[in-house]
Amino acid sequence: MNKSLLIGVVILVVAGVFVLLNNQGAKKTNTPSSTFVATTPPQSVSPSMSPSPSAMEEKKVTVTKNGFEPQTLKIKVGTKVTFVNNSGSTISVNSDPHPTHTLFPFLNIGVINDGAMSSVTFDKTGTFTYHNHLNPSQTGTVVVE
Amino acid sequence: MNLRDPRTQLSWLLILIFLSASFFYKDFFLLKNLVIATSSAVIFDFLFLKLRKIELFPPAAAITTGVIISLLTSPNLPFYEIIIASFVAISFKNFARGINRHIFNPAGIGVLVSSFLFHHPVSWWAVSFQQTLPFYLILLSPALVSMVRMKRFAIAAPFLLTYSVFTQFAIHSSSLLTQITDPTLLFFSLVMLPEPQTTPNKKTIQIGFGIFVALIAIISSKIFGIIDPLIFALLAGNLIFYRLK
Repeated sequence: MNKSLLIGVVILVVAGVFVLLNNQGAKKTNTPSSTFVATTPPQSVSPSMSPSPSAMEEKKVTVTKNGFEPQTLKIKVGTKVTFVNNSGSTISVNSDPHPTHTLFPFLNIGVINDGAMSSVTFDKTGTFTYHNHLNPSQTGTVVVE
Repeated sequence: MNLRDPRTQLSWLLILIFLSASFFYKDFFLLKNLVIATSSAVIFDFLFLKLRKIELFPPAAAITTGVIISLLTSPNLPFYEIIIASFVAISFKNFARGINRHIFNPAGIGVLVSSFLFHHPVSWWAVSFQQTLPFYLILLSPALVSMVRMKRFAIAAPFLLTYSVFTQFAIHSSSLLTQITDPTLLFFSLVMLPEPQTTPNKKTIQIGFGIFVALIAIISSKIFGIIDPLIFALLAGNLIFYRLK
């Protein structure tokens, strides 16, 4: 019995390491991607903040006590969306479905402290739904055309 | 406190998970939720045991219930919502009973009822360690040991497999391995699902229970849009399989 338990534990750990390495590999090679941007107040976020060679568009989603604003954002492919946390508390932006977050793994941005921001670039068309994992009634949608 | 008691060991494990999550979120003020949930669960359990005129015993089960409530309810909730979740959990544990056993998973019913009352969906905030999965799996491995000791593996394995495979078909989500090793799903499968008092003892019925909970979770999420399908399905399973123990 002890042997089988040990094997079970080892399988769990190995599976976890495998998934983590896979995810890291995917982050390096795949898009869309998410990047933690800053822990500074969000006033400086604007489309002209970090011009790139491809003149990438930028949009902002602000998180307040009432949730994501705008709740539905329509963008073009290649747009960088920055989530700015002005809610007064820590949030965690994650892909639907709640609570497993498996639908759009690139949208598992995770924890954003109050006053901080984090960005993700949408390089594929589609409708992407997400929520604040710490308050799942706060939901949002990004429509990429 | 008897450290050899599996329920006590589970409580300590859950507290460790809570502390790790607080560290991850860099917010040890969250500890207040742990204190509120566990202390209120213990107090209500003592009160209800007195009401039922049952001799008091160490509150290991109430502590476990309280810790699970603090792991699942949103960290930003006002304190009274956490207390009400504990109140509901311990009320059902003490009064919604059949022959010598409670019917519903106490923590599950507590968080689900309070989420309906206050329109705050269950958060699972402390058990979603996507960013540190290997660490989380190591942390959770004693729960696997505990589950096997309690002879509840035949519930968790069919549940995980059925839920993951059907989710792949239903919503075309990430890979099967990613789905099976999802932190929230693992916590549910290893800690909440196998609660010995509310689950079947016979192996064949255990398999049926695991598959039933998985299918109800998928149906309730996909067709009825229930935000907390896992807990809803668990409680439905508790109710349906109560007579089949």
